[in-house]
Amino acid sequence: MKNPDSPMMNLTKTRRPSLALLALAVAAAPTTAMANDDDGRWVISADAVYTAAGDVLEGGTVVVADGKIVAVGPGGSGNVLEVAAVTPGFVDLAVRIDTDAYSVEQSTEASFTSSIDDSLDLFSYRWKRALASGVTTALATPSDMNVIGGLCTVLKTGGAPTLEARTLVSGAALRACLGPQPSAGNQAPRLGPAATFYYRRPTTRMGVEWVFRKSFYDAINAKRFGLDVASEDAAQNAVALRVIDGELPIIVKTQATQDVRTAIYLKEEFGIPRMILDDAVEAWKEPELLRRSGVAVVLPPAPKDGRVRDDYANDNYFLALESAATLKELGVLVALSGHGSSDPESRIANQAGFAMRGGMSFEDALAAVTINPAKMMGVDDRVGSIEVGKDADLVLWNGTPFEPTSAIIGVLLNGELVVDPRPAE
Amino acid sequence: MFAFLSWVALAASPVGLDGDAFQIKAKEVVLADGSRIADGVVVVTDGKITRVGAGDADPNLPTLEHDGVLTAGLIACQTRSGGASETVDVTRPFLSDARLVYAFDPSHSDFDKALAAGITSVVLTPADINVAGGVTAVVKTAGGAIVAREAHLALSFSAQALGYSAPRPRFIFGSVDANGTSMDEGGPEVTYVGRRGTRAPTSYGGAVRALGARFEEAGADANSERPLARAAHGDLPVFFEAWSRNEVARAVGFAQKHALQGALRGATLASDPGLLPQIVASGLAVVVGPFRTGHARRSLDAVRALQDAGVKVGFALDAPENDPQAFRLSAAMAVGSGADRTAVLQSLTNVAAEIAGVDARVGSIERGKDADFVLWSGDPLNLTSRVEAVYVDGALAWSADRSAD
Repeated sequence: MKNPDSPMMNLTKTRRPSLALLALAVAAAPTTAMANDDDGRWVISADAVYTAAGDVLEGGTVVVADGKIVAVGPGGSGNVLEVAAVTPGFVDLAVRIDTDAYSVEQSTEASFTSSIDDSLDLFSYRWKRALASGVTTALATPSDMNVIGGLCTVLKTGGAPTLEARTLVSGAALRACLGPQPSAGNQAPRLGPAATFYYRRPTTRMGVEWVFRKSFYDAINAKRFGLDVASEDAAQNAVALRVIDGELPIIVKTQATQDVRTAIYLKEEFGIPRMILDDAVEAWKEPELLRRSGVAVVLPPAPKDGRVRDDYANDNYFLALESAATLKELGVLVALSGHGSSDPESRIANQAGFAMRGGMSFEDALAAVTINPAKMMGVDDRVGSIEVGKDADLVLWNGTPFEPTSAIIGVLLNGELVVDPRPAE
Repeated sequence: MFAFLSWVALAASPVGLDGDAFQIKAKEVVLADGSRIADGVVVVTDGKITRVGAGDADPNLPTLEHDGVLTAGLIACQTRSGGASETVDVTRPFLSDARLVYAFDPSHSDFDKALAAGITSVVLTPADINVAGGVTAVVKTAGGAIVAREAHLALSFSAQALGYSAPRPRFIFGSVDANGTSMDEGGPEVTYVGRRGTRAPTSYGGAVRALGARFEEAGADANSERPLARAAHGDLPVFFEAWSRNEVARAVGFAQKHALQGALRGATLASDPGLLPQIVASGLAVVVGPFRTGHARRSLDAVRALQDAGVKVGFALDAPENDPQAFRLSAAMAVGSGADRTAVLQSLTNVAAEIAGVDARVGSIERGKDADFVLWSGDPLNLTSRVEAVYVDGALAWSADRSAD
């Protein structure tokens, strides 16, 4: 057994050698691999349990029953899975699993009231891929072709393919996008009548920002003056006001420096309490703004050469491996993401490894793929750490998590073993 | 070929004309419940079936002896025969008041081809490019006689209905060929996944919300006779196109929310264990196919899975893109992948009639029904069997012998 001690870890360790031996004795019986798992109860015995709740249990066990974590500590009996390490299931706010252009209603630039629920593809193989890579909870967002894309949903990546079975929170956040993407493909009016709505949409960053500001300005005015507006506008204003009141977080895609700045200026202008910058490649270039604004940041997968290509603006942005550590040092709540990519290097677990290579501590890297994104979406009471009462979403490892020499060998989702670590018979 | 058909009694006038009574004695008569009568006799009077039984024929009636199988005329649950581009209206994504009964040419050769394949009734549907496409009709392939003017309200949550670009005004006079394909850059500009349509709604969510709002508005008016209102009140079934699994799940959820009954069209992967229970819970029938050779096994499996789950299945023809001669191929391929043979034949006849809402008139060999039947040289699901004659409303509408002329 490999001791998960490594220099980058600075964690509280609970050493329980005698009890650990007891637990291992239970785990040692070879028949456990064939134990009946129909009762939904699992005991995961690990050399190290990384709880993401402030401690590491060496030689610990996690007991799972009825989809929840019922005990964290030594010992236990039942179906025992013996692994090197356990971490919470990952929470990815940028899995980017959508129905492409059909996930966003482009006949308007600001679709505040659209819910991603109506456009999801729960049958996509990409959910399975995310789940196998350890992502057990994700934020579903619309494709970023609108300035305001609509309401997002936090859901589990597996289970029956129905919203009822998978949803944690419908309407957990409002999606917005600044920069070149919402204006890409829009056209300046030609001679004659405007044939499509793309003639009336913004064609520049300036226009995109104007749409954002106007929406929130209209909502504030409607409230201030009690304007009698059409019901569609009223529904839109109600969503905008919930963002301003801090009830609803807004997750804004911003890649380039100017878009990061714009988002923060808009946050300050309208007093938006809960803003998350997604795909914030160049956030590291504005440390003072980030520090003072209190935004949270979701970083994209680390690109191979540091360059993030932006096809919409024909531009490149630079993301250093140090970004995650730098933002953390500034006091920013940081999350990492995998973008649902098929590229193994982009998997979220590797992002934690890259962040550590860029100077982030193990503890912070773990938090950035588990409890931090859960906090951003207000679902940290359900997921994001290994604690009694939380959903039994667990990632099982054959070595120290996030090390290049380790692999994810098992995944539990709601207490169900969806990736089985036991060797095939 | 016509030797199998031999007149036993000499008739004074051609057998099978309106006003005459005659009988057909077939080696095997297939009934709606799947049972088969050996040496069955079917008596036809004034275009209706007046007796079905076994044994001796009435010596006083002109008799046609058929050394083969007699089944009800086949019913295609979806086609655009005789309408083609007239069923494609790109200008309005919500065209729920349109009527297919006004859009087809009753003497179009599409119907002759269908008749030659043993298809006697078809459900005419609009193209799936509109979220609400109009009201389907059921017509007979012989002369285009109308069986049902208003069979379903056609809806579509297919991506086709979303990623659509309206024609640009400057090219509005562009021409379109018979298949609806643009002949120059002026034709409708169709976009595909990943590209954006220029017509609202552009998204699944937009379609759900816009159609939902229309149903709620129409449904609130208890006296409205509009198709949307009648569908909302449960008086008009829907014909709901949805192809990929997420589209089907969305359509099924929508139908349940608005208490709609009717049929799904598409549902290629209906056998998915995550999707099947959702379809079953909705009570909707499923119109599958057409299948071509080389079709994925998974979609062929849908027929068996749906049958096993107790879901009514019908088959689409989708002419003129698909040849009616291939209609039986779809059914035979389903049987080849494990579907029940008897149930598949029912899916081509009486179950299809139920899905089309015309089972009181057609789809089975039963007293009181229209005398629409096919004389086959052997089992219809054996592709080496031939159609020898097709009768519609008791009249000989097609025969192998005449077609050789």
